[in-house]
Amino acid sequence: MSSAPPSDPTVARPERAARKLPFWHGFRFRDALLISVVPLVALALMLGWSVQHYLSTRAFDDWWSRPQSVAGDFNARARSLLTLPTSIALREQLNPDQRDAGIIRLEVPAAAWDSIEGDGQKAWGTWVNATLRYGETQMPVKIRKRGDNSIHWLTDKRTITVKTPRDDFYKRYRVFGLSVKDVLPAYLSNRLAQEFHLVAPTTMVVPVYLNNRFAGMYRFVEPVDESFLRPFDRMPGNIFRGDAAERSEYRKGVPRNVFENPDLWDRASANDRPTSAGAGQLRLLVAELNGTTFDDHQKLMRRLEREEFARLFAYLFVVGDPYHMDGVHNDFLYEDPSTQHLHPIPWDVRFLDFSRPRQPLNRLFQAVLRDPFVIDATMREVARSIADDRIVKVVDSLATGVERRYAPYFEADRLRAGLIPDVGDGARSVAIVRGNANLLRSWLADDTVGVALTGGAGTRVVDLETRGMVGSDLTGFALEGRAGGAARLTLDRDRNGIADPTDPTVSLRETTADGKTVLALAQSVPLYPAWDATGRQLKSGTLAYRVFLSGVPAGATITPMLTNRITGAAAAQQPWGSGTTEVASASRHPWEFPAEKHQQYHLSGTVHLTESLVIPEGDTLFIEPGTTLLLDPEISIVSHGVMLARGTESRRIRVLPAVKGQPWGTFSLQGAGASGSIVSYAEIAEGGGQTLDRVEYIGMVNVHWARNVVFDHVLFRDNVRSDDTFHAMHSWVRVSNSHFLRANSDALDMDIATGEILNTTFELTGGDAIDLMTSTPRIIGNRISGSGDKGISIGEASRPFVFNNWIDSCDIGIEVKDRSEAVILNNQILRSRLGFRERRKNWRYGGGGWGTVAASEFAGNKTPRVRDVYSRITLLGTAGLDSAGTTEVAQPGDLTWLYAMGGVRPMSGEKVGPLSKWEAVTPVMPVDAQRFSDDFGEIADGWTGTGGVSRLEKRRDALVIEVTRRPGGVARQVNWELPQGGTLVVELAGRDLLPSTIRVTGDATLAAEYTANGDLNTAEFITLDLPPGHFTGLSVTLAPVPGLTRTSPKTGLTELRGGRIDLRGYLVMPAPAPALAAH
Amino acid sequence: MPRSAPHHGNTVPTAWFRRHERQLAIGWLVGSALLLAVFLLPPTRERALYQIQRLADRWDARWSRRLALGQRLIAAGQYPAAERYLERLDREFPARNVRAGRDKEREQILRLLAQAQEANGRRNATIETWHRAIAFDSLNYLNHFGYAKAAERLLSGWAPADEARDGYLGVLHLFPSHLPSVRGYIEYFMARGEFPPVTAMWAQYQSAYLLQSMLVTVGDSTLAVRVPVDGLPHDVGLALPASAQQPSQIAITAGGFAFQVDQVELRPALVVGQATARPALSLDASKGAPQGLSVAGPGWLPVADSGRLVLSVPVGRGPWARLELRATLFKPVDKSLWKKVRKAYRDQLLYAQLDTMTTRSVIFPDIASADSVVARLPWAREGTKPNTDE
Repeated sequence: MSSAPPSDPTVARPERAARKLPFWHGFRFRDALLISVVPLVALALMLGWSVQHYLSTRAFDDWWSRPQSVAGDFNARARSLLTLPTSIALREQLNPDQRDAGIIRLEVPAAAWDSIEGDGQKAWGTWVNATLRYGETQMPVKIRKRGDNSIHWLTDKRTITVKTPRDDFYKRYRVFGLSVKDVLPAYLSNRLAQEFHLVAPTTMVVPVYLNNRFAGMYRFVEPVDESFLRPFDRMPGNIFRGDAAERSEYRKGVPRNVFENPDLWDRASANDRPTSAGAGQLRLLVAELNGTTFDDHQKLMRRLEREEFARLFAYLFVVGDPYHMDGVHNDFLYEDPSTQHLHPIPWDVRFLDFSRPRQPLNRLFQAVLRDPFVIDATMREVARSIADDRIVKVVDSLATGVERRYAPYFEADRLRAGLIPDVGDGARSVAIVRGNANLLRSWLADDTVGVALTGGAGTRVVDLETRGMVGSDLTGFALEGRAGGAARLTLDRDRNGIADPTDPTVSLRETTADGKTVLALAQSVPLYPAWDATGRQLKSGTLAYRVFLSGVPAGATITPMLTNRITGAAAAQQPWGSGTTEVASASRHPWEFPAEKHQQYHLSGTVHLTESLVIPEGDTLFIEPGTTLLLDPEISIVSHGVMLARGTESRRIRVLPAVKGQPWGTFSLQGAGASGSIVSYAEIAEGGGQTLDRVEYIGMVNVHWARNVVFDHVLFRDNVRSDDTFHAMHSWVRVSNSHFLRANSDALDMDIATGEILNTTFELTGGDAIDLMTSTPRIIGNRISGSGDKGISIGEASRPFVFNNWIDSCDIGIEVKDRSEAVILNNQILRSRLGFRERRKNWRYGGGGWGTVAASEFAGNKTPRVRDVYSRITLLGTAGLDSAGTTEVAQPGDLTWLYAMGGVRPMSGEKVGPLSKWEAVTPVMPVDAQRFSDDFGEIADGWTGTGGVSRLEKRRDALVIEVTRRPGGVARQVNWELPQGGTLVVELAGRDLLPSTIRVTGDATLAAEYTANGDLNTAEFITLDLPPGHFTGLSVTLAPVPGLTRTSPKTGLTELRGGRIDLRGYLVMPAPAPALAAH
Repeated sequence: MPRSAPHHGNTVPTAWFRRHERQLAIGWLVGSALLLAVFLLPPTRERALYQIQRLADRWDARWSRRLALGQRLIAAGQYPAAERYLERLDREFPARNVRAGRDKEREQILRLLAQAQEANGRRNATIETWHRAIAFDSLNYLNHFGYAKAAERLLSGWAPADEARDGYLGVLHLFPSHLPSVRGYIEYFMARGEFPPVTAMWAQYQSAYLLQSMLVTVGDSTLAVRVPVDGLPHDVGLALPASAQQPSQIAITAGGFAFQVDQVELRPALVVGQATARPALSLDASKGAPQGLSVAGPGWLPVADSGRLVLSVPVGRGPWARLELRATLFKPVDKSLWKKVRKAYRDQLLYAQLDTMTTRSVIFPDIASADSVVARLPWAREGTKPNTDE
């Protein structure tokens, strides 16, 4: 049997060869392989990567790794592949050298990066060296891995912590995090926290380049530590951290809730003062918030500030996330040592739809929301924030601003969606806040009150029950007919169901119109709401109030008049059936709280105190002229209310020890209730400071958190043991015409305070006569002699006006440090070991001092001046402040503008040293002024450079202008309307420049010449008189000294050295009024 | 010539391949296209990727299987084999940092390994393994406790070893209410006749902060209230829901802890329209009916899980708005430990403090029952899976 020979594709048959073969005729297997290899390999690679990524996520077990899937990663890679050309094109546009104050460039050796980021389980806590570049600044930094769960270290974008050297901060931060999680939402949420005046960490959105390759949009966040408190003007204190959710941080096998187990807290900032109870405070807090009695609740609320919690809740409700500070993590509490109050710090708060409840609130929140006053204040804050969509507009503005500023960067990250954590979407956040605001509006309208009136002739029992989210005010009653003028309302304040003699009454005013009578309460009765915060969803609760209305005719139809406590609209009323029972609420009843009594206390004659006298807030203490208070050892007077101790010149008030040689405690004013206190013609001596209610009163006399407090003609002397004779904290105080004698250490210490220190004498002080921390007082006309340390110590970002003081024979005359900016005008500093010192003492402030010393005289000082490399000075007409210590006298120059700003008018002619005659006038505000701060905003705050300007950016409180190779200029548009003319004052320092020109253009063009003194740390004022008119431009033209070279910090190569101006700022003062000009 | 004979020098498969090359090529292309289509079309892609993920999961689950094998070897008493096996598993196990998802499995491996090493008489290796467990997760008190117990067994001479004391202290730093460690610590000092640390530790244990939910059943409602367990009386108040305003009895239980209740008071609820003053109702807790409780010193000792104290409420005098009571919960202590503590107080002539501590202590009959009180609480349970609240 024959069969057809097998076909051989390699042998072309003649007939086939003759005709045109189809294209696939010569198709070989290898062709198929070639065609398919690319997609198959791509598929295999993508599958391989996805499986590998999936397995790497399996290595962790947290909220982010758990939902990861092969499909999710594969799909993300596929999308990324499809958008690869767009992505590449976009990345081509991204320029690390773009002039933007937010861009952070990190250069990390590849091996170092791999060593910390190559393996999610390795190298925790290991710092590696890197270089941080921003603008023209380059600094060595250390970086390390950061984050509490795998979202931070399993994607291409990694979260890190950056630490700069102590001597060189990044902006004002030494340590900061660059986080990949919730970049845009967390930025918006933290910025919103600041809108609610909460102590929240600074958060920004920044593009980050890693080794010149765009790494992604990051969330810049400062850590919660001691430095974090400073911008909020808070004293260093304990920051308790309850943040142990993830592995490596939580304790297995013990209660995990930080509001149940106080041992879980640690401290992000530690106050080791003797009064600090450390973690003991937390144990008490936990006990109180878990307690169920009224006493527990009162103790708890004494640790907290109701208004602050109201703002916190309003904020959390607006963003929709009262859940994430959840009792397991994200719980931070700052303990203010001046009050011992605990302040919540919002952390990791998200944008959520508040209409979809997640979980019960943490136990602290639940306990605080049992307080009706907090609920009431919360709803007030809510109403304020959502009125006119204010908060929505804020979020919209923030989101739009940052998304517009960094549009291509966001786009680049969004093209990698799924492969890196979501950067967020501004529009989505705005929509969430809008939805939450609408929900909260419905809460504001939820004001229902259950109403029951029973009883006939005589007294009516009026039972009222708040049932909504907001409370109501009972403003009166409407009734048919007339009441007869005998109507009276009694509140069942002791809640025993009957009207007692001790129950308060409220008078009613009767008005009649159209046959209807209105009994209006002289003072409305607030009916606070209750909330049920125990479940997943916040719900309204009920609170019952009983009042008795007497003196109304029998049978009259009576209707309570109720208005919404927040909106003022008429509140909804529901009948409350007679005989039904009040359902008790876990909330505290407002009538449980003791009513304020406003008592007055009078002390006169000789009073021997054997136990401390504490005056409650709302009460007033009067100390009569001629009173002598003898205090036993350790016995104190602390007034939370107003103290009026007004002696006379002949009948002084004296506060003295009862036992000679044994110090009494403290004489103090504590809290806002003490505002307006006056102590005059008094002698306060030999006290020793005290700790009361865990508040440390470090001075013999203390003023904490009070305003408008005056001490006039007071002799403070011989305090024992205490740090300070007089200590003011978070207060406004005037100390005038007084005398400090033999202070044990510092005489007058101001911490985060302001006020005036006038015409006071300080003699033989053990430490500093005047010691300032973050304070801004006016220090005028004082005489300081024989201080064991400084005459005036100006530290920690203080900004005082120091005028016409005489300082003699101190160890150091004046010291300016730690980013303080003092104006020191017409002072005389004599015969001290060191006349003037500027330095950086506390590195956390990020720099030394920058004093403006004008028309002052330094003479006879052993060393006239010492200044470290972190400090600067602006000098004007000051004598004797040179290294040689000679008595060279400079001309005071034209200081009119400085006097006008300081609110003084010389009447004896300008001179160096104290003025013999002057008067106080209203300080004049500049028409325009600009100072610079190295922040995340505009890189040069509106200044633009031309020509040879090679650098123009804000650094260290100045605008740095560098010009290289050729002349250049910087300019700024202004809008000065000066109908009477004025004076332009420019403050600057420069080096390596040919004479420069400062020019103002507009209706007239004027110019002033500036010659650099070569020292960037010594600035000077250039003034320019401006005629009446309108001015539109301010410019500086400058040219480098040719031929100078330097070693480039970037390349290490020799390059031309440019000229430089550090412009601290300018101001424009209007021309003085004719009367002022006459002087 | 047979058809399968070589042709033009080609082998049979080659020839076959050449004969069918076009079909194969087309088949390959079709197959490839199908494969790509599977991953291009969403429904099939999701399904295929899910299957791949399941395979990956199976592959990843090998670690759990290997751990289970190690556990079986230990359970079977095959300690030499178990040690070899677990040592290898220890080297290869992927969780090298406590942040890893299999952290509890890693700790389990180390504990099993230590157990095997101890059984094989490898004292130093055992101690070293416990050191590694502590280094792996220093915040897990069980690692410290395991170390302390091992040190007590392996390093002690005439008295418990210093290492054991340090281990117990490590536990108590993390979990101050851990009775077995308190016992170990006290035994260390009792063996040396040093009594001040014993009384100091006892005071610390009694005062260690521990909250326990006390369940109060009023009418049909059961309400929970958290009370510190410290042997001291605490006032608590409960708002009664509508269904509990006219109860005939109140039942109180403390979840296995010994407890005492006194000063039970019901506060009247406001009745709309009734302007009459109704007094609060005080109940005599000493007349309560114990169910599953026995009297032990100053409190009630539960002898069954359901142990509760039942108080009768006179009917018809309500409605009541709030229940207020004074409750004391006691830290567990067993008889033998209490005997030592008492001796330590007596030997220092601290009779007043002993009297105070006696009023704060309810004695459990044995170690097991005392230790089980805290160990059975939900948060104290530990497995290899995450706790439910993680």
